Amino acid sequence: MKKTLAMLGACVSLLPALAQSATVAELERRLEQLERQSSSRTSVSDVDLKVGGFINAGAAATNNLTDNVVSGAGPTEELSPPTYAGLDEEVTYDRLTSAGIQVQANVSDRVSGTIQLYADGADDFDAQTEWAYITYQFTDATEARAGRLVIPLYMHSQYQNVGYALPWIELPREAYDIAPVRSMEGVDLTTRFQTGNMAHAVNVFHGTLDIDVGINGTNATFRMRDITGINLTSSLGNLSTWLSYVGAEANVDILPGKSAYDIDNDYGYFSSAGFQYDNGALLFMAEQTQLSIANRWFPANTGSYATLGYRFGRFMPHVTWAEVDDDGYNDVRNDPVGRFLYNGLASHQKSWTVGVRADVATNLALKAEVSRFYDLGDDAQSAAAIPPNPLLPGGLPAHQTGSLFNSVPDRDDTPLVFRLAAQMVF
Amino acid sequence: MKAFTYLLLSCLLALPVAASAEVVVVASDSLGITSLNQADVRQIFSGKRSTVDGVAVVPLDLPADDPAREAFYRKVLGKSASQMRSHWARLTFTGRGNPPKIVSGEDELAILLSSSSRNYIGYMDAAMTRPGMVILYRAE
Repeated sequence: MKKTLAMLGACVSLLPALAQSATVAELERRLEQLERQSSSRTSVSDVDLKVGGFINAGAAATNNLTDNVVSGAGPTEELSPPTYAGLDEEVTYDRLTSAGIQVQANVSDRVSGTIQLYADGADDFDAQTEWAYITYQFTDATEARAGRLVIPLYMHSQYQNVGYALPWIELPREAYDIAPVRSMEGVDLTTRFQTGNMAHAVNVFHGTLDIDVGINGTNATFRMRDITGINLTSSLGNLSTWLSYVGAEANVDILPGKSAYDIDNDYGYFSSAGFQYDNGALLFMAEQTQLSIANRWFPANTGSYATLGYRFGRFMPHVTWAEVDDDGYNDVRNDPVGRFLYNGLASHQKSWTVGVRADVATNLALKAEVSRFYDLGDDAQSAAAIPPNPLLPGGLPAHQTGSLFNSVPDRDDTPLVFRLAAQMVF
Repeated sequence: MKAFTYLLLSCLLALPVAASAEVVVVASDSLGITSLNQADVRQIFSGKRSTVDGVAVVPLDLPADDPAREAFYRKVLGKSASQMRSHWARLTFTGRGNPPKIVSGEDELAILLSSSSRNYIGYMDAAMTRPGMVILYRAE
């Protein structure tokens, strides 16, 4: 209380000084102090620290689904219902609950350091370092970064965890789930320039990554070397466009020892093109994403979506159509192991999502969505790939489908996913 | 049908009347820039651009509750406060930029524009401009 009074006194006594004879140096110092106070009250150094974060709290479930048992295909008793990206008919919170915190330290006008930690419920809240990089500002328009960076594969990749920054509760998985990678260690260089009334930013990067992936229940390490990419963001008035291409040398040991099915220094690429139009009321976005690895079995998945939204005051209803489709099955049709692996990573589905975002308070959005999925998997392909699993004698469950559901919902079902979320930034 | 027409009309009439005050983008007259177009202003205040004709410029924001701020973002960028926060969240959490620093009001903005070595650019109610400032853009 005493402290508050003292602070109040200090503020009051500062006011006339401000109005009359504040020097610029004082004002700039005050500006810095205000910024520091608003971002971090426990600054331990003279460095200008900015602390920010985001929290996503959500719940989701599917409707009641039953498994469509493919005849003669492995275990038929007590099949559990199909799940969608970890969601089933029980309401769960962990899949849509996550949080991130970022600290940015501006050491000088040229040098800054940034660390962002991220944890999500699907991963038991084991915090991961999403970003950790040093920035060096060469000029007002050009900067380089080195450290751990989220790879800018697709239009929204780098902020895909920041729910508040997006119209949806989660990104269309058809387009964003096709890449199993997020962060790399490496460097990037960004420069901004103008052509007429258009503003552009071009970003180039190079890096490497190692992640653990599961393919058809087997554990493997996915290594990418020489990840090299370029992307261009351009904006003109209410329209902005995105073009990106990333190439890399991919390695995955599929089986113990050497195998012809390993991904062995095979060239992989990600590419995407998208645009966003936002005039303040109308929002229209669309993007197409691709991933392919040039080896004997890897499916080339292409994802795409289009979103239309319209703001009525605080509310924005929106509708999204999304699709993912695979290409390359003919190359593995006569190879049991190849087509099994192919079907494990191939995706084929479409969906409609309708939702609403409500900006209910400063920095807080409430969202509700329902997605309806159809055209799941490719019968011709998955039937041909039904086990016995050639890699794991004894077998896996029978339903390799190639959709983002873990098995085939019954044909009479209308697969739905319901989501509700509160998402904020600070 | 008639009822519908009346409903539509009354909705149109009920639309909030845009703040009548004119908002202008200002800088020090010693900056060497004499005018900006809408695209320039939008890009500077959304972090897409940091130089004008080779001169580095630094935007400043008025406090969140200042009516000129709401009017500026509505008229020039066509965005609400929450849309701008979404926009800056995309940049901040990817290291692409931070929102403009916030001054305490027009007085502080005026002092910073006229005397700082940094090339600050701000906006204010047209009625609040003072000698030594150059009006770079008028938001109609």
